[in-house]
Amino acid sequence: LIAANDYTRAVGAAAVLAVMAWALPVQINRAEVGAADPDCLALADHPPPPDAVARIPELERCRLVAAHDPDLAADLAAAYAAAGRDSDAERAYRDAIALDPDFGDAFVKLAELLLKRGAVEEARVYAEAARQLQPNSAAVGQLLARLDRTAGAGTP
Amino acid sequence: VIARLVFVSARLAAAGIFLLTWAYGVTTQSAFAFDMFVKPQVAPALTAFVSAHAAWLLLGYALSAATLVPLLMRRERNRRARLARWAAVAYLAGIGAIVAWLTGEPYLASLASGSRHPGVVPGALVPLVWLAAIDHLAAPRAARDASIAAAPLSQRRLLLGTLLAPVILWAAHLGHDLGNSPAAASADWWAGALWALLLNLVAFQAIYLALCVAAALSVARPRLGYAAAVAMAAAGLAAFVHAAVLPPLSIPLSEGLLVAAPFGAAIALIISGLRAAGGVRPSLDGMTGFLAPRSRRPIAGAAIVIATIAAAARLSDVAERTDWAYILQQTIAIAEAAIVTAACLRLAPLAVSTPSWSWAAVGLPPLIAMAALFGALRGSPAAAVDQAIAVDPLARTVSRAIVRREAFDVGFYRRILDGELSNWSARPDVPPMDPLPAAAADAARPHVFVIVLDSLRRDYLSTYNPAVTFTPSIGRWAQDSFVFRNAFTPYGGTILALPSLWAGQLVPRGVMPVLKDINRLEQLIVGSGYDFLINDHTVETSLRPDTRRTFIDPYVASVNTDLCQNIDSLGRHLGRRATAQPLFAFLAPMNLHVVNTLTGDAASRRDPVTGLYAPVARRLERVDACFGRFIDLLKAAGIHDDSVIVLTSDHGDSLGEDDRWGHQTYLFPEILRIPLIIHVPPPLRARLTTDVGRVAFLHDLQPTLQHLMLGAAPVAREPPHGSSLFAGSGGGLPSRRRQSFLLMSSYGPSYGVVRRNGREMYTAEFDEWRDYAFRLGPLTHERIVLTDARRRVSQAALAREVDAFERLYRRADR
Repeated sequence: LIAANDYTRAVGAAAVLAVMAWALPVQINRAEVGAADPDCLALADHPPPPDAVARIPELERCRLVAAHDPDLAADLAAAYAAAGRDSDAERAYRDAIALDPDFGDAFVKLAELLLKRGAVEEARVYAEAARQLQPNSAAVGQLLARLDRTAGAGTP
Repeated sequence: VIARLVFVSARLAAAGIFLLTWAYGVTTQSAFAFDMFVKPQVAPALTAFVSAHAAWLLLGYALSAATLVPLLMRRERNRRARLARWAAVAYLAGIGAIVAWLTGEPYLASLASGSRHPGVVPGALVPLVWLAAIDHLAAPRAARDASIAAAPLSQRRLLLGTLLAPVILWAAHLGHDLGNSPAAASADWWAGALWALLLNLVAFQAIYLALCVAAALSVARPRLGYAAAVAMAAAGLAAFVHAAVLPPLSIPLSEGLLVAAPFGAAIALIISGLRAAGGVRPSLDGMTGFLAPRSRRPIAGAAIVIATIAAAARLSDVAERTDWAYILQQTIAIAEAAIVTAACLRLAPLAVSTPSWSWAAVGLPPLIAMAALFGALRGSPAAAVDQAIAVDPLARTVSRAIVRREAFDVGFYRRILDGELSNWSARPDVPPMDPLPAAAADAARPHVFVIVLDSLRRDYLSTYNPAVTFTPSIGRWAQDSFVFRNAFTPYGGTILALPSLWAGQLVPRGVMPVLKDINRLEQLIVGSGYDFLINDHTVETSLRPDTRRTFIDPYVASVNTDLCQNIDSLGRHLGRRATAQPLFAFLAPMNLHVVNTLTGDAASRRDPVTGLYAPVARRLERVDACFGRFIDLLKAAGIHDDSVIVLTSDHGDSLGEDDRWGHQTYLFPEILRIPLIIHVPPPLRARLTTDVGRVAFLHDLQPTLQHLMLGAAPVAREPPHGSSLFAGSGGGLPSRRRQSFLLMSSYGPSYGVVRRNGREMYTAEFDEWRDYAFRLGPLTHERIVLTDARRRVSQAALAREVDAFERLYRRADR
């Protein structure tokens, strides 16, 4: 090899260069590959089905996987509310609002739940927040009117 | 020495003129580049150059001709010298004739946007290649013979030089970053620094091998080796221009090759020709010492290395705060690396070349460097590589070439890049606009003022950020207005953001020629009989010629447009208006654009309490005062309560977040989130409802204005169309919470989607094969781990939106 002529040297260097070109580019990112469930991350892309109550177990499982998804939290809250589990629904709506403080519909729903259990003043706080987000909204207007009537009557 | 200095200066000046001609020709090949740089006269010096091109060309010719005089006066009678003289005479006659012809018929100024003049680009390089050929032919025989006698090649020099250069560059870049980066000297920073060294060493070992090939050939056949070295230099330059410079100018890769290859060849030949003319034998030694000092005294070489590094650091700092930072920085990094490497190759110990090379020295260092890289991959490198990119601009350039993100779906992004929305050249088929609906019977036809303050970030307004104290006027005005809290621009740059605002829908890159056919806002203004005032350099030239408008402040260049001046002109217009027509004013001033705000030492200009960037805050304070004056003006004219007033921006800006500046080519939350504040006349306000927390987009403005101007909500459309941000009182808006929305850079190959009512964002850069996921809070955002699942969901959403977009613009013949 040492006695090889200059062409051989050129070919040799070119061969090592070819090895480099073949081995490169290097790939990275392995550490970022996780195991989250894509179905859960996309679950709230679709409107909740009519049988939302039956999907509570799936929604609860997905809430653990996609813990930062405000819409998943709201879907779960709606399913709890449909199943009559109002305190669970209330907690889930609070989660949704914490994740998205601009979630007007969640404010309205939470205020309605609070009104239902007689927490009028707290319900008014959320209803007022909803009015800030959705001025002149019919749903918010009706909610505030009910709150006024309830406050006037002294009972929920 | 003086004669040589005069010769080189004249030759370089001539080369500069021809290269500038070439660069302008390249710009006209791209409709995008022409519209971005030439039409708005971003560089007045360039405009002046083109206007007087005939004179410049004559000067370039005269300078180059003067450098040929010594050759023509030489008395050598050998064959090469005669050939050189004939080539010089042919140059004087041939190029002289062309220059004389062009002096009579100025050509450059006649080139228009996107026009195809395939001759001008390579044609501008012909004189340079010709001169290089003359230089090679005329290289003094004595110098050649002397060089042959002195063994020019040494494998040890190649190896030491290519080891020394990356270490010197790495240390210099590290030192620079140490003084500038807030993360400097942390554990992550050091990890990134080591990765930067590793990446650079691997890249330089590849260069070492390429030089070894040329060196070995050079021993066997000197001319072959020389040709190989010139070819490699040309190929390297062409590859860089092709990969890094032309894509952001939206020159397709296939056409780009025809631009980059002649450029690489011309530059390689100019430099080698100059060295040959200077008496350095055309050899590998001369080639490796392309840019190195001719003196072999270590002190001269060291001075060159130090001066180069210092100049590159300074230039990089300046470039970092310009509009096209990353192209400039990469160019600087490559030029710095080339000069330092050349100097190191010449400064490395001059071992005498031996006929036998060490195969171990050929094979082992590159393989060891690669093994180290693969060994390092066993860790958790992604974050460290990102840090390496931040620490060392050279590592950033290297990583573009050799680092791939495993989960990045290259095929997916190639399909997007090849599609309709990315293509600047394809003229999109546009569906015909619906006729303008009739105004409601009780429509009040309010005055409309739309202020798009270029690059205004929402977190620099007190309305959005309570820590801000410098926008009291806007803050007061916003209290009686609708403040949309989750507004986004779909585009990271003005050139597409504003057309999308006017069209009321997303637009592809080739939109400009057909914008007039989908310009619903123009249709609305004209159809509703408005008195139309405008100051904008992006859309105005694409309005229909018969659209009556008043262009205010017409003699102010785009980059200097100023809201305060616009307000003064608007006031004068209001004062002399004699019409009962309602007024529609569209202003897009550049007060806050990065070209106007990024000056001086950016890092030290942060407010210590708020962390906001002081130059923007200062300019915004002035703009806020003028905005207050504008509101007072409307009140004094008695039209404030009859006016719709919109304050928004076309995009935000990176102002130092993770060392990012500007907005041109990438997509990050601070670039895409914009303020959107709409003041509505009180009687109209009482009849409207909205959801200010709902995600809103810049292209929602056209249907929103249509709603407010005609008094009736336009037909709701699905993305990629915008839709009105208001509904009738008591009504409601369709939820957008379960929808995804397409985002794209106006210029670079970056795409993304925003989901979950603006709480989640996914963006991907094809440029660097990276993608990101962000969680967005009301004011801030955080980068989140991009798992395979999240990537898959995000890419599926992106694919759906791209499909919807392409269905809108798909050409009938496809």
